[in-house]
Amino acid sequence: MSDATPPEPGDAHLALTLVGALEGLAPMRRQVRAVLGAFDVGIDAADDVVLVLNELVTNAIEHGHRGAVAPVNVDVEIRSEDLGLTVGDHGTWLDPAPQEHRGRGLDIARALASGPTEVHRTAVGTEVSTVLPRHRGGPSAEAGRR
Amino acid sequence: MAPGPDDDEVVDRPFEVEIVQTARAVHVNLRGDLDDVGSAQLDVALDALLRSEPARTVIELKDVATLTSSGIRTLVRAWNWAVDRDETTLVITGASPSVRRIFEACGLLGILWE
Repeated sequence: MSDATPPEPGDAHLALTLVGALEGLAPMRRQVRAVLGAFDVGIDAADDVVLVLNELVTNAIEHGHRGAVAPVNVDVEIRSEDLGLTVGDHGTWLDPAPQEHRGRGLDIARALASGPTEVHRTAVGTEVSTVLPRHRGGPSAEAGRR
Repeated sequence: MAPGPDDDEVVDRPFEVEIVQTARAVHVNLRGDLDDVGSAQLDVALDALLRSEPARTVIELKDVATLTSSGIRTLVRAWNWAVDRDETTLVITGASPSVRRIFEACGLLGILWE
């Protein structure tokens, strides 16, 4: 979904469909962090993933769906060297000048990414993809949360 | 992928804003996730507090687990409020390395007291 990197042994794939409400963000962060911890993704890298997903899903809800409750698809590919993130909504980001803090969401994603952060129009909505490093050092997310 | 009891205990703790008045400053101690929900709560608390124009306010981030752009927006708004006033000082401090990185990513390290 996010790029053409072929899967290798040990790669994993997490796909979530959220209801599309801001109240779902905290449970999403918890679920993603648990999965990343289970795959020995470091705490710092997991923090980055959770934050970027939070920002992209928030954008999807507020700019894609304009606050309406509609599904948001979250896809995380856990690869040996990096983590591919894709967030898809069912709307179109028409607002060219989002609020200042919302504009920071994509900036945060780009600042933390190890590859390009791209926004694509799809047949059903808008999809944002980015790549984050899998390793930033430190203990795993699972170990660090206990 | 239902969360277990341990996950609920650790992660579902509600965001908390504690305001402590000392002789030297008003301390705003934050705990939990400063996200959309937390920042809305902090907005209300800071609006009420800053209307009284305390001479020195310290926003303590050491127990903030997650900081999102909504939280950044709330902190920047408070910072800008203080910058516009000569008689008041606002300090934002205690950021963990992961929270500090968010300020850095936003180009806002300058508002952190380190």
